[in-house]
Amino acid sequence: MASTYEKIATTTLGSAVASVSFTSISGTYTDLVIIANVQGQSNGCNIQIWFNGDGSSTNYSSSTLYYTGSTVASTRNSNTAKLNFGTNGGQPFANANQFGLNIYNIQNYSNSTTYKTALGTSRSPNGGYTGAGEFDLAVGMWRNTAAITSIDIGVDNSKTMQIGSSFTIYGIKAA
Amino acid sequence: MPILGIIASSKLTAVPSSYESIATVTVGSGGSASISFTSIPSTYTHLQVRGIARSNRSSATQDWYELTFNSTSTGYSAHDLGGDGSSAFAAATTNATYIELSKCATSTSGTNVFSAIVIDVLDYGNTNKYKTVRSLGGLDMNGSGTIAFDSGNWRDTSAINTLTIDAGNGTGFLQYTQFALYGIKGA
Repeated sequence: MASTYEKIATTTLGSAVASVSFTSISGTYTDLVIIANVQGQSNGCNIQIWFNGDGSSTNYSSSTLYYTGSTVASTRNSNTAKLNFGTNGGQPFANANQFGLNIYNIQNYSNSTTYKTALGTSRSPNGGYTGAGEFDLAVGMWRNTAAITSIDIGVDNSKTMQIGSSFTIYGIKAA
Repeated sequence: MPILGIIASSKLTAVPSSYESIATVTVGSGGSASISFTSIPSTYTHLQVRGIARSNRSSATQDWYELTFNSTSTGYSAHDLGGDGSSAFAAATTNATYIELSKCATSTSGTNVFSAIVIDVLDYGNTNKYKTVRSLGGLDMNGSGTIAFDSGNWRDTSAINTLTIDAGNGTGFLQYTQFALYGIKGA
């Protein structure tokens, strides 16, 4: 059997940017996996994702479980303009060598029948908004049946992602 | 804003060359009582199941999955850690007839809403170990939903050759439900 887990694209930031775009994503895979190793600009840089350029409607929602080092809690975002992964921990920023690990599974991204559901895990080590780091598990939905052909990744609060942040998108092809 | 497209640099993470698709089940218009992968080859080290789902449960907006191996209904247990958007929760099942995994969308979850889940089955072919499973799954319905991280155990040393997923309260899965089974080879 042929290998079915393929890298589509990758980049490492050479300068701070507000967002990164993966465009012209082929519909030949079943699922997408994104691994993002991100350093934020300052307090409260939470990862946001949006699809097919839809970053200003209210078509996104998410449910999140998070642990701050002292508290386990859950929160929700409804009718948001972008898909919010992570809630208040933010990506690390205080140390130039510190980056958060974020993995997103975007299931059945290319069908044109279902709303799109994504699963995310994030680990923001010491230096995030809380100073103690945070671990997040999240599920998000984009209320659109369109096949996903482009993905933008940024952070909230009009902040930027810093030099050295890296992003890789993989495609998984089912039999 | 960098536009990467499909021609971006390729100096980063290595792609697993040993991750292979074994089989896929897509539920048609008539629905399906359960999802089964049979005659799973023993040539891999681990298994991964990835899917989207919607059960035919009509009494609630969420259901759960029931995972069993080799058509056996004894020796299962599970732990569930999750969040429902307002509170965190944890639960456990012991001496169960299946591994309970969270959460599955239902016929009343809302139009076009499907849950997603990724299940890892470790050392499935090893005949000296009980089998351990973990999963990340959930659904969101724009105002309600659940994200959950689960673990499960099957107290049996048999090599797994059949993997079955049933709807918890529902009697089956609805159209467009899809599960794909992958094998991951060791070195």
